[in-house]
Amino acid sequence: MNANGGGRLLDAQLRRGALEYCVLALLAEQERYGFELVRTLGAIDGLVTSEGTIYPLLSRLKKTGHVTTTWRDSEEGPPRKYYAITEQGEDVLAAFRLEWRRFRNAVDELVEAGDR
Amino acid sequence: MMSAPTRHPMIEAYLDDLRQAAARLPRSQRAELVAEIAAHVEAGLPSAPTDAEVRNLLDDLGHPDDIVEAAAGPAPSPGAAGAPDWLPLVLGVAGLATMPLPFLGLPLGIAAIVTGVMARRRARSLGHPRGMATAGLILGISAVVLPVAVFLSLFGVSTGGVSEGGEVIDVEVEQFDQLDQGGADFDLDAEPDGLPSDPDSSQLPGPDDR
Repeated sequence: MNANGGGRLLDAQLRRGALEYCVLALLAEQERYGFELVRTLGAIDGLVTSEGTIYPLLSRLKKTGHVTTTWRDSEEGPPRKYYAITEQGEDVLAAFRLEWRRFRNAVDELVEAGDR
Repeated sequence: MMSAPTRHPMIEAYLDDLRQAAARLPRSQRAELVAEIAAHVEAGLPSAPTDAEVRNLLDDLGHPDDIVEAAAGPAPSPGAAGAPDWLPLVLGVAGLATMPLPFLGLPLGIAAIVTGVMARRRARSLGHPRGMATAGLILGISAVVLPVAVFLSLFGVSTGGVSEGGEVIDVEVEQFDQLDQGGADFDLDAEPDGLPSDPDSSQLPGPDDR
């Protein structure tokens, strides 16, 4: 089933690693319920291949204390589980931002130089 | 669990596949995952969706196997290295048979316990029956506990009577079960099989900070 080569595997891992922080970044703007969050991420090209895989990620983030959940009534249909970022999540996101900038610049420099 | 009676058959089939794929997850985690996906589907479709609408939504969600893999890590391959299923049982029988020779019987019993716990863990993660591993585990415990009990009773220390042996073993198997769960999943929310499971037990207070 997993006969993908090293390249695709790395790609998937890179994406998965970044996805966690994209979730935190979206929640830093405002709290969102699962469907809304998943659909927003799914609409970004190339970020998520299977939207369903975001739910296990959310559950992990909750376990690590980076997000919290609250049930809220909805006007249409059953109550919804809203996700919000915690202080701990904000700290992690801020640290990631710094590191990501450095990482992105370093990779850009190398990859773009080879393109010239 | 409540389910809308008018749920589209394709959704029903998808959720069934998901439940099956998620059999290797701890009960509470499985219930939560299925509930989240069901809520997602419900939120994403009109009350009477067309087949195409359902298909598009399910395609976007992805294959149930991929979702479960994201929750549990890659599936252990059935042919992966591991002791044969019958090993704990054979070790347990050998341990009991050699009980009069403690220098043989005790190590064999201990080996049966260790391999029994490992085999149960493996069978659980693969969704296989655990009966043979449990039998080996119980025989191994007997091979260790009985000689010790006999020894103690011979030297005049009260052990509470041999008739309680069965209960002692029951309790020990339960403890191994809990050990089993903790070790196998690294999941703080794991509940031993057989306890009533609460989908929201993840909200129990607990050592959440890792």
